[in-house]
Amino acid sequence: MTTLDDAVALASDDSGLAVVSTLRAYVFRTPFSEGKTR
Amino acid sequence: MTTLDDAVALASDESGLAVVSTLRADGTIQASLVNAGKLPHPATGTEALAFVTYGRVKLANLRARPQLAVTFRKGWQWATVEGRAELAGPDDPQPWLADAEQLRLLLREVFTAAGGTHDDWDTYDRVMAEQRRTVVLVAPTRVYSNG
Repeated sequence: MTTLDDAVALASDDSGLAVVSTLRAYVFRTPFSEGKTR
Repeated sequence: MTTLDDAVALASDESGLAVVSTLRADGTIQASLVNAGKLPHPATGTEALAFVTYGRVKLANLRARPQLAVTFRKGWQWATVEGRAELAGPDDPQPWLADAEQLRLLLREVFTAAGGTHDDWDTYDRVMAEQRRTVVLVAPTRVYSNG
């Protein structure tokens, strides 16, 4: 199993460089709406 | 404005290494590493980002929720390409994918587009088929970077 230590160690020579992904608010659609941001 | 070419170029020295982020059913993010490159879409000819995968989790996520983000980096420079995944593979037929032969050639094309080279294409073809590898094509909807 990969541990947090394993993960962080991968970038130890690179000042801990890492890609961070986040979620935007998403748009939902119904037959009665053009789309609203939730 | 950052272009798809700009993004892909960042990883040109690293065979197109990029982090792919997909969405799980519970709304959390699943991320993994792929080799990605740019090629013309086989049906439309428009430029697309492409990579090959056989990861069960990633494929399941993309079948259900095709939104994804692909991030390339070189040092501190990074660029992200977002879009919707279109899957083409033995378990993901497409109207424009005629047969296994076209898939075999497309798998090679994607590998090459990501900067890959191979001295035994027959073995490459066989492994791709055995592992039921799938091509992921992404029409970019957003491309952005820190520079």
